[in-house]
Amino acid sequence: MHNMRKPGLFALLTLVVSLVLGACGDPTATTSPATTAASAATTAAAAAGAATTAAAASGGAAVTGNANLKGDITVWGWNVAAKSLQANIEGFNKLYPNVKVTVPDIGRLDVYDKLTTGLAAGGSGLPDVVQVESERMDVYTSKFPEGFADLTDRASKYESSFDPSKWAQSKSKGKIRSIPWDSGPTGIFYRADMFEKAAVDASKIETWDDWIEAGKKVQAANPGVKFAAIDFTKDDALFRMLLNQQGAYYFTQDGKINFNSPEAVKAMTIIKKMNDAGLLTNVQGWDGVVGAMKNGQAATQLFGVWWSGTIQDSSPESKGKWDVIQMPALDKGGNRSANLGGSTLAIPKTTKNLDAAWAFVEYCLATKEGQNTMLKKFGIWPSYIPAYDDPFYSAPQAFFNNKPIWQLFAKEIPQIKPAYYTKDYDQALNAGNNAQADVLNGMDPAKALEKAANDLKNQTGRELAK
Amino acid sequence: MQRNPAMEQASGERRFGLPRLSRKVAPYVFISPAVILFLLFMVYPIIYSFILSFQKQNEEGDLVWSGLANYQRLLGDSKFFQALGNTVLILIVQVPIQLTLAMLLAVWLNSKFLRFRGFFRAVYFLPAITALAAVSVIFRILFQENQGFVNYILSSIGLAKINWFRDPFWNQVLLLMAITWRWTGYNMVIYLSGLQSIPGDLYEAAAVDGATRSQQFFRLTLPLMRPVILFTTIFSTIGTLQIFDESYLLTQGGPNDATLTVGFYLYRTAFRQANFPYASTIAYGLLILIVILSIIQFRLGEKETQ
Repeated sequence: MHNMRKPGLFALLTLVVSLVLGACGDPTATTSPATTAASAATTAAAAAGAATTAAAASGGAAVTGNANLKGDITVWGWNVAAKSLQANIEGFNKLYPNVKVTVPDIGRLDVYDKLTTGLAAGGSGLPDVVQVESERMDVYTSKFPEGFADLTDRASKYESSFDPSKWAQSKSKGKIRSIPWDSGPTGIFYRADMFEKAAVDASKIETWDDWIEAGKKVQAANPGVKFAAIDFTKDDALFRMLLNQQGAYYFTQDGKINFNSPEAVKAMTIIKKMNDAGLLTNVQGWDGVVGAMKNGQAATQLFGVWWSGTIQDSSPESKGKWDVIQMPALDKGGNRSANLGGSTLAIPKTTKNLDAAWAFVEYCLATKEGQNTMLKKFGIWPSYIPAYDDPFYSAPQAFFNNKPIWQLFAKEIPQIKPAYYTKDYDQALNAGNNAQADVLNGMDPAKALEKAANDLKNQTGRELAK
Repeated sequence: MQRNPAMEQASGERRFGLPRLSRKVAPYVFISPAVILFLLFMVYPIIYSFILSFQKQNEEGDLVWSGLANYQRLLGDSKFFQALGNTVLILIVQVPIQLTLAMLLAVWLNSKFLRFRGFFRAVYFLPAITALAAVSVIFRILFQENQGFVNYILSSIGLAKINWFRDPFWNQVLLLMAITWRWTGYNMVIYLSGLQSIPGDLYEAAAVDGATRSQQFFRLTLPLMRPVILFTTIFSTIGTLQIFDESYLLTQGGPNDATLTVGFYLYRTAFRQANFPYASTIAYGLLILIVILSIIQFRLGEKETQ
């Protein structure tokens, strides 16, 4: 019995230490397309010219600046999002010359791991401002209700100036805990040259059935090309967009599981139809999707507006070959708008410089100058509606078949329906991925969704919607 | 031995201005850094996560006692049992394959007539020290559905392409191959050192008595290697039950969570869902299983040795 102790103690140590402590995420491992990570829209920045402007709500007081505000603040963000904030420091310092801003570029999953542990430790080690994707906000506000500063008094005046679907996601229990940054109005990016070869007029496509018919023609005319590339098992972005288009999401407004809803079945059925028609090709993750786009393996991609930046960044040689339409409707004349991705900026409550942190958030997100700097340089689409009042938005884009594609996205914003993420978003995301994997492996959509719904119910204790 | 006057002088004086330590205290001072680190980064997390496993967060975000609620949830958590099932499947299928392979390789590399022995040893051990993130990327590229090298080979010899990442079964096979590839060499090295500690005259005596090579292996090598085999079995079992990296990096849980392991599920719960109390419960659930399995294996091994 004496030497029994050894393996027992060893097991205990290795387990707890390696699992509880050692689980530090790998920042490069997974990149979801549903991030704000849009890449530089450099060519777009060259556009100029007067034209009518897109929908622009007025409102929001002008930021005047304050030389008396002093302090150092640190802002956590990732990829181009971090770069876009860095690009705003110069303009910010003209108004607030005595606030020093540092924006280290930290990997997306690293930010989440550090934020989760920091908030769990009562806010120690956290920066003054942090980027959080909108869909993840509920996870944090539910576990750490007072983890982020209450911005209600400072930010309420901006409510009418922001994309309403995004604003709703920044609220928790009636209080504003973050400011919407960018939106992800969706569109189908397609290869105009391949469509032309098949004599398909994309502007005539209205419904998903039209879309599938178009796909068959495009594939027939372009041997070796698939209509669309998606990750069959690990990204259900298509499912989410189809849900949002119908005004539904993983959960209902009152937090019930919505996987077994008619909308979800319709969404999954469309995905199944596309696959049955042989229009989809399976790729691995973000890199796979980018690769298929770059190699011309996929003729189209339905994503948020941030995809424009990635195309231009990774495939400059395809300039002029791309065009955009809104996603098709389920029925003729139906809604063609949805959102995918987008972030917010939040201020951890433990900041020693709330005023300076707020001033930076306000400048970047609630001024035309701040938001449009980020759009022009890094393709990050403002959730701040007054920003659209800029000639840039209606100018034709050389990269995209000389079409004024920004107009299309701007018009979409007011029509996007809210999505309900809840604190159980991560479990729901996994359930969505699993349901999609099942359907694309041949399972009946209603059955797969029923299974996912029950799975989610078991994990979260939530009720089913019907 | 000649005495060094300088040393003699120094030993009589205080050096670096520090007080001289008595013989009783000195050992404790020397081990204190290790002990402090051990207490801080091992004992404290173990105790704290144990406490956490009996708590939950209320609406205000504060931790409150919840008794056995988390453990009750664990017993009814279908996702946990799915992950556990996946992990146990890996354990049952992969550990025997890996240890058998490691033993065969070790015996082969231990043979006197082999040339380039050092080279082969290095080659087989290399996977164990390769960065797993890089390995996962390479595996993902090799096993791609449409343009992967493996599928290219399969189709060029007339076999059907395999959907490694889409088909739950083949995804599990992929994970097993990746783990075997990584850890076989590691166990081989352990076996090799075990083999080298067996005196050569035993084999000579056996050969004189007319034992064949396979008789030597089964009647001599295996019994003498039993402690080493027990050691690697326990380590592989613990390691497999905790497996995280491959599931997280290579298959990302697989289609419909076919390769979701308990370690990855725990990570998801803690860091993606910010639910530390329940994640701690999962850790302790797994710990209990590991302890039970280790005890069983240890007992079995001990019995057979006696």
